[in-house]
Amino acid sequence: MPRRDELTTTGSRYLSAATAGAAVLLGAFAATQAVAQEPSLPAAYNHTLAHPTDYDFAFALAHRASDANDPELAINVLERMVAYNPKLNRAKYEAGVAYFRLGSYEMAVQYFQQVLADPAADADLRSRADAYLSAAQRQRLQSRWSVYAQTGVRYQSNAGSVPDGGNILVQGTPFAVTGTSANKGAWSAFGLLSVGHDYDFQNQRGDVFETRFTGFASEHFKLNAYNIGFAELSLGPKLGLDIAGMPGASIKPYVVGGAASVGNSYYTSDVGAGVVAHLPVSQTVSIDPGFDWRRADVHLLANAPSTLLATGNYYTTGASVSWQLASNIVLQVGGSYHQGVGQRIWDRFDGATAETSLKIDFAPPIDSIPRRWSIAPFVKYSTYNFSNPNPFVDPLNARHDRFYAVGGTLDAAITANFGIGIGVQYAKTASNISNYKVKDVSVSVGPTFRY
Amino acid sequence: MKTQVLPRALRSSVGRYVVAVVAAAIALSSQAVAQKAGIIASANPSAVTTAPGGSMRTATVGADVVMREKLETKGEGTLQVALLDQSMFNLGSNSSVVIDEFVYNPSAGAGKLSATMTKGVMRFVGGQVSHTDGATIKTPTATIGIRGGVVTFAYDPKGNLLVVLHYGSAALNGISGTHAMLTRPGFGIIVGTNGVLGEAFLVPDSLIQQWVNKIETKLGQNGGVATPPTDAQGGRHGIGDPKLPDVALPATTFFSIVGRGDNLANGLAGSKQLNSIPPLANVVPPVQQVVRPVPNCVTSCSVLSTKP
Repeated sequence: MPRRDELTTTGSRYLSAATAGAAVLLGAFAATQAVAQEPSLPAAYNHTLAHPTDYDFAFALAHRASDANDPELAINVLERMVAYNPKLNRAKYEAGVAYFRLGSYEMAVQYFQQVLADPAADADLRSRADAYLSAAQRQRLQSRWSVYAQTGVRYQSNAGSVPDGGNILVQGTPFAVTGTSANKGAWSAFGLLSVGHDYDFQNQRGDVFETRFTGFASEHFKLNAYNIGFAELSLGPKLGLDIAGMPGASIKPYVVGGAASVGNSYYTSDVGAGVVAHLPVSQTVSIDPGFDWRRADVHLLANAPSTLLATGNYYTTGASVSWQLASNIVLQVGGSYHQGVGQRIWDRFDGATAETSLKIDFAPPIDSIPRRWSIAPFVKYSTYNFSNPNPFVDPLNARHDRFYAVGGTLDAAITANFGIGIGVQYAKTASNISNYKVKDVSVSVGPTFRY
Repeated sequence: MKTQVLPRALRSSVGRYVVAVVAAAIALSSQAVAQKAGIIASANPSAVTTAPGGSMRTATVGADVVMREKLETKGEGTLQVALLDQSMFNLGSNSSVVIDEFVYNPSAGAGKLSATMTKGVMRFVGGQVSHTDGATIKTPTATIGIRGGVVTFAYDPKGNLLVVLHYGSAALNGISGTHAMLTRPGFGIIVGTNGVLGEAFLVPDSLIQQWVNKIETKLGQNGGVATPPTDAQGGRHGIGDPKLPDVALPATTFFSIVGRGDNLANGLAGSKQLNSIPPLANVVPPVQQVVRPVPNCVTSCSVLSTKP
């Protein structure tokens, strides 16, 4: 039985936690009330017309307009301030940021260059302006490269994909998984490379030929048989669509191909094609419907009795919606239907995927870091329904899986090009067949590079 | 007598009504003429304005600007006019603009805005009206309709007009009967003195810099205020703090790529598991042919990252 002082201590902890929670809630409520008491943006704008020299009010309005995704209003106010004092480097920088967000890189460049040309501008502001200037100038080039790379170490709690119950079915008979396969936790080193090239035709429609490369490799410290490598290349023109009231709309047909190795042996290759559209239905919301087809050929383990990686055709059709909730918050929601048509009847399945993620940018704790940091939680749910039983696994029951994943990433830039990335994911598959019931927690951390 | 008095009274009443109606009409008319469109937001000498029926006056910060008011700058003069709907005219040196019509319904966020520009350089920043019903800028050689938008208008010494889109869209109609659209920021079209529209082209930064310089307040000027704002004031309100957005891979894309690698490994994992089962050799084909599938896509199936 717990002693009285232990109970008191425990009670105190609960009380402290409850008090802290209440304080947080009250703080949040107070903040909400404070926001509610602020005048609307139009009312605040009218105040600046009635009191043009109320600079504090004007700067506060410009800041609010930026946060509220109204760069034009921010420009309106900031350009007035700069007209009163052409040495306002912060206001010029902020106006440049507003133009950048509108996609008006030519105007953004002008403001960032002015900030950098003034020796009186402080070092941190210059650093930020320099980072933005590079990004804006790159958007004006005909040939544009972008690179994102990450390397590091990764821990998986179930690298060997051992089923939850430790049993697998073989021709309907359960067997226990033993030996090294049951050795679950494992560390590996990994490298991820994403390279993009845009060739801008520099026409009014904004046509661009896009080339995208993705490569991934992992090297296990102990389970070398699970070393992985794959590469994928896609090519296609992104063509501007002339849709009334929808500037920036585009459609992109593409071809894609890739190859993969497992255990340092050539495993599979695939080729395919697809089309994806980009429809900005408003200044803050865009919809990207698409269709993707792949033809996969499995070379190693080609006669495997059951696998999603079987030789065959794979189709995915769906759409994602991107909603800029605030200047630093983007919500993405997506849904798709997928179908696999393997050569063997038990390799055929269909299903659906729904996922959502939130990307929140925030200021790093050190002023001299020129880029924001971001945290991106996500959840994902997929279903896979096979049409026929696999006689090698369970001759009586067709497989039905439900896949859940929840996780997130933290990307912390240290300089404009280098940073640290952390990824955490919990994934679980529920299935009517014991072979496929698995759980895995993975954590990855390592340096990042972006250009 | 009564019959004479009544008609006289009636006539008198009618007369009074007529006078009242005429007076009201005149008053309303005057009110319409003097309808406020916005204010002078900043002014550097020499900037002048001329209200309809009024005389030319030096532009002063905070002064009302009314419909049909003429805005002019000379020498090093610049002028900003902020309209009630959040639109703004930024006039560079030696420019002339007349606000022909401005109607704004704040509750609907809609209205009508048209102006005529005859010389100089001007950057128009759109507000509520241009986002809903559109704004129109008339010139002697072309009429430009603006949706949303930020647009620069600049005359060259020969009288050609260059229209540059910074945001939104602009529909150009030349007096020659030619039409064109600007839809991509940074692109411009030259309107010849005969109203013929040229091809859209990517405007060089150097040209844009020239016009920005003409529109901006010069060092030593103060936009017409006695005490200008300071950088520190802006800093206190977070102005200048935003940093370049992060360009990390989306989380779903990252895990889609990593997960694809996991899928590949899982095939081998299934074989290893089967290898560890002694009786298996007697009941199934060679173990290396037994692969355990995992519920994930064969390709990078994240629907948030299907765009290659």
